[in-house]
Amino acid sequence: MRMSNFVVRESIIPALQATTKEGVIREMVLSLHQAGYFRDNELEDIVRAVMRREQIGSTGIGRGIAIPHTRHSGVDRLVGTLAISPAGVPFEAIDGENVYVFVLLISPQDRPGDHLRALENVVRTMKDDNFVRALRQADSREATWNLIDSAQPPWER
Amino acid sequence: MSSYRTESRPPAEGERVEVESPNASSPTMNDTPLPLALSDAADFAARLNSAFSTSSTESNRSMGEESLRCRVAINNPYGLHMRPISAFVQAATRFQSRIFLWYDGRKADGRSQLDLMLLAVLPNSEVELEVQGPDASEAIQLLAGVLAAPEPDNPEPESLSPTA
Repeated sequence: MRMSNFVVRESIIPALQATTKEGVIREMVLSLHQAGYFRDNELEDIVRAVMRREQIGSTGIGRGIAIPHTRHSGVDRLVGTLAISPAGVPFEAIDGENVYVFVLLISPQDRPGDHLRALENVVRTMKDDNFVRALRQADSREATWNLIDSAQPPWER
Repeated sequence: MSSYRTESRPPAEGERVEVESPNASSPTMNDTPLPLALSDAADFAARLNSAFSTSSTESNRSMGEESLRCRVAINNPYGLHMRPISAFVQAATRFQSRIFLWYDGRKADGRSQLDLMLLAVLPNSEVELEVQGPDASEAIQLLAGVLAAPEPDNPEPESLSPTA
């Protein structure tokens, strides 16, 4: 699995407006919606579900990266989006630092394997400091997508 | 299931680690070939308990480097996702012992959330827990329990979310 398999290209946000945890999640869910996902009446429920998950423990995994996520019946396959906050957002991450790179994952109820592999994939990709730096400097949806798309694991080449 | 090379991969005796065979002591860096079953761990616990209730550095050293291993079935229907991993890491940090998880021929540091996420441990699978150090027996019992739990103590909000 590669990030470009589940990150919806048209929903990528190269510069978030939001400055709060809930604001970021809402902006990302809306962006997926604008790219054609979820019904109107599901949006609030999805935002709330992601927020409830955050309340159990932040998905900020450190080094400026967070992977907010939830399962929801509004999708029949794993979908995700990626967003960058140039200024950084307080997210109660495990290292206490602001978060700059967000990957939101919405999984169907019955595909735990896909979710696990997506988490693995995001962590593996983001281990590369140069990649994260380049992501944060990308100034357009296209530039961001090209980075994600080129982040191809060695075994798939 | 690609075998990915990470720095935490065991030093190559060339081959992939045989975690499948139950008694295999995998060729890790610091491996003492002491594959002990969980029942043995209980034994150790009894013997060690008195020694470590006051836990002086001196006795830790003399009793240190016990290496215990056990296989643990993953009962969480969603596998080892972020929350059970956090629960495990939280529990693991309470011990002095070094703690590792083996899965699919790969090894992860039991105190590293990111390392454990890279394992992508699937539901209905098995992992091997390896604990080395002065409080190994206590640690392996508690941690095996955490790993085997169907879901961490926290409520499970996603599954409660209404089906739209």
